[in-house]
Amino acid sequence: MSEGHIHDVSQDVKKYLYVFLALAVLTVVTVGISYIDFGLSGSIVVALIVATVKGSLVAFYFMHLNHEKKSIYQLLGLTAVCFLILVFIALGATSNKHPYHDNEDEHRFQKEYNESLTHLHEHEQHEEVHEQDNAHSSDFTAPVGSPIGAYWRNKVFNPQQDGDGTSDTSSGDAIYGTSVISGLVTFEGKIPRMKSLMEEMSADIGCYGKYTTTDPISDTVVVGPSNTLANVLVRITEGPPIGRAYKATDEISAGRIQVAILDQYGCMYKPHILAVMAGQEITIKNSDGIMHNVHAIPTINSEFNKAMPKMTKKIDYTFQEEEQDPFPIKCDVHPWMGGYVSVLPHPFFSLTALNGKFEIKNLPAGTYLLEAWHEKLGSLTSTVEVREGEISESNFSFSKL
Amino acid sequence: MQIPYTVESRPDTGVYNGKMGIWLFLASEVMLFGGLFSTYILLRTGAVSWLEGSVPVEQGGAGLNVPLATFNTFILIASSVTIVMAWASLAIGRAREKEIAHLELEPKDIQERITVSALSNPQKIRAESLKKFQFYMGLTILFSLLFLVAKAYEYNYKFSHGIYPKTHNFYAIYFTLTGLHGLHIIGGVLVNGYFLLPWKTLLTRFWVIIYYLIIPVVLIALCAFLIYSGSGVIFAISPIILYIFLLVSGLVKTFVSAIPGCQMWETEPDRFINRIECAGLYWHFVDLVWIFLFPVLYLLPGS
Repeated sequence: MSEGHIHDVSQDVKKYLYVFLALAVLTVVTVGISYIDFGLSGSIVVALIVATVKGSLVAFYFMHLNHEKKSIYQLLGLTAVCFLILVFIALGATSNKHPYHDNEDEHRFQKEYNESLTHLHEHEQHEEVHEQDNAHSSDFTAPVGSPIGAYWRNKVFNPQQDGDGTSDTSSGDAIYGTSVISGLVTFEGKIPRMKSLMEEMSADIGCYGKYTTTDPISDTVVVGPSNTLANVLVRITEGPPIGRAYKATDEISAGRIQVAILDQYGCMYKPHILAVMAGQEITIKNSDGIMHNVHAIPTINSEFNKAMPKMTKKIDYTFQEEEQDPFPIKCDVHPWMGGYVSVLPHPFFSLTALNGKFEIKNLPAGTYLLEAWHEKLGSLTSTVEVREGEISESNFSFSKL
Repeated sequence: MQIPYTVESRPDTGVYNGKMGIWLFLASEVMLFGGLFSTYILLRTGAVSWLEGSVPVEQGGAGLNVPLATFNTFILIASSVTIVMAWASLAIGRAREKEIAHLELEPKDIQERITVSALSNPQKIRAESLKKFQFYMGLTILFSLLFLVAKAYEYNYKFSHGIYPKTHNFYAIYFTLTGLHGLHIIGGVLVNGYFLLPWKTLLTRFWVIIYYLIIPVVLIALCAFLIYSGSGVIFAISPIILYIFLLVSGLVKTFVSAIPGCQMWETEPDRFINRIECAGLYWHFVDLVWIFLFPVLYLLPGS
């Protein structure tokens, strides 16, 4: 090997040092570059390019591939082909992946879905709810909180707006009164029996282990004693205080709204429906201590998808923009886990518990449009007039459509 | 027994057999790590979400130690340079030695011959290049051990924080890839350690201690344990113990005569240079794997 190559090797020694310097610089570069945001695919490409350059330097100069025999090149060529086949098997296997995995796909799907709904149900609200039922049973999230609802409602209440879901909340100071609107939400008709989730949960002791006495029951429709309906969001959609600037932080410190906590316990969301104000911090807890991920699909806010490994006990997140409709939140690890988050511009909302009661306080006197929303049963509206310091009652009755 | 083509090239491949062998082995290693990289791609693209290596665990990342891994990258690059320098110092020494021997046989210029001889002789050059080699090889092993220490610290930190391969698919592939890579480092340290020292002399020198002290002590301890733990089983197995004694001593003696370590430089210098080249090729491959592992596991963003 070394015969008569004394000069070659001596010159190579210098080269080795230059290659070492180049590798050191490239290491610094690859670490430095990782702080720049190229997007996911951009980062992968950049990192792989730098790594390939470094690897080539090692292979060509340290492993002497710059002057090697043909037989070695042939061997390595064959290896490279086999290696690429291995990698492309993996890439190919993921090309018919689950629709969840690609956010763009999901967005496109929802957009197409919503467009088709727009054509179908421009005049038929009933069928919209029916479609929601279907969507619920499929893999995709129910488009209850999707632009179609916002679009439709905007057309009714704000004909001058173009229906992009945003409304002007920045004008005017926050005003409050002493009037109260309260009422009862009930369910009429045969109460649907919710299915047990025991079978679905049976794969994960972290889930079913929390249910020792009773089976976990789907919390899509929860009806209490004397047919009262839980998990209904009642809110003001039209009326005097709307269009004024309310600040989440002020409302919390004044005690007009509660601190928002979304817990994951027994592989269910507690609470099932969460109503917050825009800009209000949500504390997402993982009491289960198992792997969850929190995947929220808002219409206006940017999508939010965070893994919560078992050691991550809580994360805080804030939706800055208000949303016309509640949007779904789900866990992709446990398909039955679903909930809704409503991001509102003002503090005039209330969620019903098992007793079906709601109460909206601190209202100035006036005439209001009240909306009661249920994820499965649709929404009902009613116009309520309330005088200063008085309590007006308004009851809602949902029925299965 | 003469092993063919340890020094000269085999006509049909154009390289000595050891080099073809190590490249075939490295090709199989490419497929081994390739399969795991393929697994990484499959796990990552199939996952709903993927952890970001550099982000702390509390913020939903994987909490890997990027500064330490960067340090390890430098360490491995440096060790790649030192092992190639170890090979180069042998190759340069050997070439110079041959040049001088050639001059002595056919002196073209008597003045030149005197100058060269006065400065150095072949034996001196050979001894000096071995020293250089040992310096660079020692550095290589030192760097490898540093790498392992850093890696052990990282693993320990993970385990003490309740992070195991089962915690998340990210950690599953992280521990598999870095663990396999770590095993390769350990393998490299063993081989390089073998080439570093004159094992034949060392073991022969300490043979008396091994033969009269270590083996008997181990056997006496074994007998004591058997007597202590009960009955006269010791008498039943005493022939077996004698047999073990003879077997072990015989094995060690055979072993000693078969492992020259760096002493092959004295007997078959060209073959030794080739051995070091093969060890170097393996070590560069281990470095190369890390060059890809580092950005893929530590630097890529999550999703």
